[in-house]
Amino acid sequence: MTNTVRALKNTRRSLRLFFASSSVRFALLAMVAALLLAPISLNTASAQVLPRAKSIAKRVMCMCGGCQDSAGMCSHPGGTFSGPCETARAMQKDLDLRVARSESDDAILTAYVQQYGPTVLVEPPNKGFDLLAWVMPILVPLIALVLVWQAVRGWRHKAVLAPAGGPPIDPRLLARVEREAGNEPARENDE
Amino acid sequence: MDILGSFALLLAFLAAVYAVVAGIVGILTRRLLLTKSARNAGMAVFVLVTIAVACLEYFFFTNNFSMAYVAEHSNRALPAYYKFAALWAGQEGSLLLWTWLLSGYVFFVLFLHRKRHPELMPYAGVVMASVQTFFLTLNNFVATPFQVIASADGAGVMHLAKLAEGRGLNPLLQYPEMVIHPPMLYLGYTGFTVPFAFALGALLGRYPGEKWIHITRRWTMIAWCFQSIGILLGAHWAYAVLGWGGYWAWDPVENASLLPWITGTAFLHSVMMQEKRGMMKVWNVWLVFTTFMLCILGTLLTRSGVVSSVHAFAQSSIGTWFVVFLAITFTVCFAAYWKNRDYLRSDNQLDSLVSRESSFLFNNLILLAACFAVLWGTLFPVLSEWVQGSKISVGAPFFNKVNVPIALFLMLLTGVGPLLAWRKTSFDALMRNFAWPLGGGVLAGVVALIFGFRDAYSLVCLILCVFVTLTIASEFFRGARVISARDGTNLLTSIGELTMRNTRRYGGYIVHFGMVLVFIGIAGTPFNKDIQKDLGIGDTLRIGPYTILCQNFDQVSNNNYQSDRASLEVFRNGKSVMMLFPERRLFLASGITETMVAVQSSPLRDLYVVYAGRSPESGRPAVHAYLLPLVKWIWFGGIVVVLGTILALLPNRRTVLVLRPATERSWTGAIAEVSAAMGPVASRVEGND
Repeated sequence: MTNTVRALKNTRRSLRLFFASSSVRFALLAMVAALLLAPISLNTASAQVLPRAKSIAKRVMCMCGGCQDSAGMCSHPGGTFSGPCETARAMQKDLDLRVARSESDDAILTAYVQQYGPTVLVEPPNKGFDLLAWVMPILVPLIALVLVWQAVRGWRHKAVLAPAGGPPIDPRLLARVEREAGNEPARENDE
Repeated sequence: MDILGSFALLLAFLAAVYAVVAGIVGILTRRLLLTKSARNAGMAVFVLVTIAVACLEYFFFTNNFSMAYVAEHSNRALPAYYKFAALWAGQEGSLLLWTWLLSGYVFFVLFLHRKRHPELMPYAGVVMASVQTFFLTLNNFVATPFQVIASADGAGVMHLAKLAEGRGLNPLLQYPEMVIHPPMLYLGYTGFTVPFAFALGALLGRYPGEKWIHITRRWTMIAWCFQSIGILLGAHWAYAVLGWGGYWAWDPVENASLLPWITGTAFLHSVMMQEKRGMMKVWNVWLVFTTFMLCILGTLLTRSGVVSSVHAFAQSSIGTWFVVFLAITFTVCFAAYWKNRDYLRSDNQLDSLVSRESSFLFNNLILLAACFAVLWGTLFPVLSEWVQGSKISVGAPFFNKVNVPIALFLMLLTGVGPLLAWRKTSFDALMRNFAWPLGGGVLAGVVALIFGFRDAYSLVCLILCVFVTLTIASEFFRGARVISARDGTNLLTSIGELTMRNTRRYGGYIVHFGMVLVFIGIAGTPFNKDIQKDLGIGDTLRIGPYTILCQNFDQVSNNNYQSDRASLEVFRNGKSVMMLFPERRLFLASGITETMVAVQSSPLRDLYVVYAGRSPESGRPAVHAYLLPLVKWIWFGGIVVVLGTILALLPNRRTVLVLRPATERSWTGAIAEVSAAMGPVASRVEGND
C-alpha cells in the first residue's frame, strides 16, 4: 500500500515537471487548437465551398453556346474531353472563388446576370414579365378547374331534373320484386 | 434510279392531290365512282412512296455518293443497319420517312374500311389525303432527298459528280436505338392523323353517333403505343449515348414528343365518357384536333430551329411551311366545329361528384395542365425574347418544379379512378375499396422513412405507387374471385380469363402498372451520385458500395472507327464483381469523337461509367462514374406499358351463353345466389372500363 502511494506521488511529480516545460505547454496548446480548428478548415474546404459552388453551378447555364446544360451539369459528349467544357470549368472555378469569398447565393447570381444577361439563369427570374413563366402553369389549370366545376354543377343539376330513362317498368313486375325483396308493395304514386 | 425515286415521289404527290380533289367532288356530287377512285389514289400513294424509299435505301446500300443526301449521311465503312437508318438522319430523309409511314397508315385504313362506313370514309379519306399532300409538297419541292451533286465545267455546263467517299453518319446516331427510335416515334406522330381524319370527317359529314370513336379507338391506341415506344427509346438513347447520366432533360425535342402523347392519353380516357355516357363530345373532338396539331407544332419547333435541341438533327428554314399548315389546319378545324357544333351537342349528366365520370374529368384536367406546363416552358424563351428583347433560359429545374406535383396528382387519380363506379359510388363502397390500398401505401411510406428515404417528392411518389399497385391488384383479385367461385378454377387461371374477357379494361390496368414502374424509376433520381476523377493505371475511384480499379487503356479499331478503351475492374466489399469497358470512338469518316458509356444495370441501381478522355488540367485519363438508383425500372415499366397496350388492342374473348329451360324461381333466391357468387363486388355498380 505504501509502495503504491509512493509510486503515485512520483508520477504526479513527473507530470508536474513535464507540464511545467513551456515547449510542452505550447505543443499541447497547438494540438488542442489544431484539433478544434481542423473540422472548421476541413468543413470550409470540402463541405461548404465545393458543394455550395456546385449547387450554384447547377443554377446557372453553361455559356459556351454549344450546349443547353447548366455549368454544373455540362457534359459535352465526344470532342476532346467528354465532360464540362472550358467555359463550364471556368464558371465552376469562378463560383468556387466567389463562395470562398463568402459571397451570398443571391449576390453571385446577380453578378452573373449582370455579366451574361438573364439567360444565364437556368430558371426564369420570378419578377417582371418572366414571372408569367411561373404563374401561368398554376393559373391556367386553376381557371380550367373553375370552368370544369361550373360545367359539372350544370351537369349535376341536369341529372336531377332529367326524367328517368329506359323503358317503362311493368307495375306488376315491380310490385312482385318489391314483395319478394321483403319491401312493401310499391304504391301507385311512388312509381 | 434517282429519276425513278423522284418520279415516284412526284406521282405520289399528284395521286394525293387527285385523292383530295376527286374525294371532295365525289362527296359534293355524291358520285360513288369518284369517291372510290379517290380512295384508290390514296392507297396508290403508299405504293409510290414505298418505291421512293426503296430507291433511296438502294443508294445508301450501293454507296451512291452522287446523291447529295447519301454523301452527306453515309460512308462506305458504315455498317449495313446504320446505312438503313441513315435514311432518316437528315431533314429530307426524315420527312420522306414521315410521308411513307403516314401513307402506310392511310393505305391500311382505306383498305380495311373499304366496304364499311360509306358515308364517313370519303370525308376521312379527303382529310388524310390533304395531310399527305402537304408532306409530299415538302418532299417534292422543299426538301427533296433525290438531289444529285453537280459541278460546272469550264464552259459553265453542269455535269453529274460523284464523291469518292461520303461524310458519314452523325456518330450520335450510330447506336442501335437510332435504328428503331425514329420510326417508332414517327409511327406515333403519323398515327394520330387517323383519329384526326375521322374526327374531322365525322364533323364535316355530320356522321351520327360515336361511330367514329369506335372506328378509330384502336388506331389511336396503336399510335399512342408507338409514341410511347418512341419516347422511351429516345430516353434510353439519351441515357446510353450522351453520357450525362440522365435520360430526360426536358429538351424541346423531348417535350415535342411528350405533348401529343399527353393529349393522346387524355383522349384515350375521355373517349370512354362519350362511349358510355354520350358526354364530352366537343371535348373529345378538340382533344383529337389538338393532338394532331401538337404533332405538327413539335415538328415545327424542332425543324425550324425556333428552339435549339441536342436531339435535332434536321434543322432548316422549313418552319414557315409548318406554320402555314398549322394555321390552315386550325382554321379548317375551327370552321368545321363552328358550322357543325350543334351536331356535337352532348347529353352531359353527372349523377355524383364521386363517380368514374368525375375522375375522368379530373384526369383530363390534370393531363391538360401537364401539357400546358410543358408547352408553356418550351415556348416561353421565344415569348420572352419577343416581348422583352432578351432571351431567357427555361431549363430542367423549371419543368421539374412545375410538372412533378402534377405528375404525382395524376398518379393519385390513376389509383382512385378505377375504384370509382360509373354514375355514383357510395361512401361505404369508397371506404371498402380504398382502405387496403391506402393502408398499404402509408405503410410503405413509413417503412421507407425508417430506411432513410428522406426526399419528400420521392416519398410521396413511393406511397402513391404502392397505393396504385394495390388498387390494380384488388381490381384483378375481385374479378378473378368471382370467376374462380363460379367456375371452380384457380385464381391465376381466373385472372387470365378475366383479362381476356375485357382486354381493354384489364390491359389498361396493366398500362397503369407500367406507369407505376416508370414512376418508381423516376423517384430514384434525387439519390443520384456522381464523381469524376483522373485515373491512371492502378488508380482507384470509390462510388457508393463500388470501388473501380483502372486496369488498362487500349485501342480497338475497325473500318468505321478507332476506339480508346478503358478496362475497369469493379469491386464490391473487396470482391471483384465485374469488368466495365467505357470507350471513346473516333469516327473516321466524320472525324468526330463520341463516348460509349459502360453501364452495369441492376434493379436497385445502375453503375454508369464514362471514359471522358484526357483531363484538360492534368492531361491524365479521366473517368466519370455515376450511381443511378432504380433507372432499370423505367425501361421495364416501359415494356409493361407496351405489353398492356397490346393486350388492350386484342379483341375480347366472348363468353358462351348456355341456355337452359326457364324455371319459375323466386327473385330473392336468384339475387341471393348472384350476391353469393360476386361477394363484395355485387354491392358496387361497375362499368366495363
